Formats: sequence, structure tokens, C-alpha cells
Amino acid sequence: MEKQALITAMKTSISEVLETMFFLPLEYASNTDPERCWSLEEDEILASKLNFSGPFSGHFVFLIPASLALSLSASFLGCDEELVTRDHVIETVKEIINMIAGSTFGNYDNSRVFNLDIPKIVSLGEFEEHGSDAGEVIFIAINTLENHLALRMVMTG
Amino acid sequence: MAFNVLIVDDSLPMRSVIKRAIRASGFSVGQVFEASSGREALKLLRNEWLDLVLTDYNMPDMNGLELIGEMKNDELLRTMPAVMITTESSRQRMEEFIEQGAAGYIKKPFTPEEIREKLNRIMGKTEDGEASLNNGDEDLDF
Repeated sequence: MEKQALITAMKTSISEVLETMFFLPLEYASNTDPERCWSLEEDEILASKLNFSGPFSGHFVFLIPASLALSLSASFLGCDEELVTRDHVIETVKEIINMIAGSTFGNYDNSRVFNLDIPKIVSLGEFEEHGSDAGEVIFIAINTLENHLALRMVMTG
Repeated sequence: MAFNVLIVDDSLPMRSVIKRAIRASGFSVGQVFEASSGREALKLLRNEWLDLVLTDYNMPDMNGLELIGEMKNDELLRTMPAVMITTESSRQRMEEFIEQGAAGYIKKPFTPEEIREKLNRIMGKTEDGEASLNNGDEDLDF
């Protein structure tokens, strides 16, 4: 697999999903360390994970501050933030990683079939743990308005 | 003619977005029903007057293709168009959707304009809302 082609596909997909469906202006950052994105002690960060298999296997992890996730969830639901529940926020974050993952593989090579699992929310501890998996890692940091997001892809086989 | 639509997705936020996108698209929509699973969808399909189903593919218990399979095995539901709304994007998977009975598919992320164009074509209408001569299953850009 070509790493650069995957990075391009991931960035295109992030833009398609967040700009098309959430009207969120984005900028890609050059840092590759989650600890430089947020103050992990102060900000609540939600992490969603999606496993995939196909010509190669692995997983995506999407990181987003809970405050921004709440705002995106309200936008998705078309209601005020006060009416958004924790479950709505979690469903929205899971849907975002689902769309980004599907779109990434379509943009990378739509002649090959990748199977996507059902996304789930994981703890940041689990995120760190999976960061040490053997395999190729791509980390993309994204700046938006006053927030930061990140997408990591780990290819394990 | 306004079409009654059933949206099937296990994610409430996604059902909400699809519903608002259909309404914003200008597609001629009447009542919109929602189901959070394939089983709930089948119950609604047998009890409500519906014209079109929009279903997610990747759902727990019964996926979108299994739902379409159940519809094809039901004498009353087999002719009702079902459109897959999906994050899947390989050509092979899209061909599989059509071969197994989907009337078309819409890839996520989508815009209201894409929804209007696809649904008008599937329901046999032109962009200006007039009924077209073809039956809607030709010329879809799969």
C-alpha cells in the first residue's frame, strides 16, 4: 500500500465529511503528537475506533474534544445543544469515523473491498495502547476554529 | 405526488440528518417515518402506506441488504424501491447492492442536491419534478 496515497485519501475524506455535512472549516496541522493538540488533563477528548479488514487490515481512531462533539451533534440533529444527550454525541462521533473510514477507502482505491466493523467509543488509555501496536501508523492533526481534531490509522496486517 | 419515505438507520443523529436533507433537497416528500433496525422497518412497512425506503447498510442484527432481501421475499413489499445509504464505496459492493435488489445507493457524506437527484431518478421524475418516461432504473450512475 502507498502511504502517501492513503494520507491524501484520508485528508480528502476528512474534508468531505466535516465540511460537507458539518460546514466545519479545516486546516491540516503538521504535528503528529496528540499531546501537542490538547491539554489532555483539562479537555475531555472522545475517542472512537473502527476496525477494518480487506487487502490490508487495521483500525482508525478519531479524536475530538467533547465540547466540539456536542456542537456537531446539535448541528447533526438540528436542535439546540441543551437538547443533545450524551448518547446523541456518542452516536454522532461514531457516525463521523464511519463516514471518514468508508470515504477514505473509496478515495484510495474503489476497486478493492474493505470491510468496516461497527464503530465504538474507546478510552484514551486504549488509544495510547493501540498506538504502540506493530504496524504502520498515520496520524493526521486537524485545526478547526478554536479546536483540534485528529485521525489515526494503524495498519496491522 | 408526494412520496412517503421510511428511513432505516441505527443512528438517531443520522436519521435526523437524512430526514432534514430530504426535506431541504426539494424532493417531493410526504410523511417521513423512521426505524432504528431492519426488524422495526419491516413492521412499519407492513402497517403504513410507504413509497420508498432509505436504509443504512452497516447495522447490527440485520444489515441493509438483509432488509432488502426480506422485502424481496414479501409479496406486498417486493416492488417497493429501497435505496442504500452507505459509507461503503467499492464498485464491487455497489454492484452487489444493485444485484441484490437495491434501487440505487447514496454514498455518505451526501448533500441535499445529491439526494434530490438520486431520488428523483429512482422514483421516475426529472429534475423539474415532472414524471419521466423511463421507470427510473436506467441510466443511474452506479
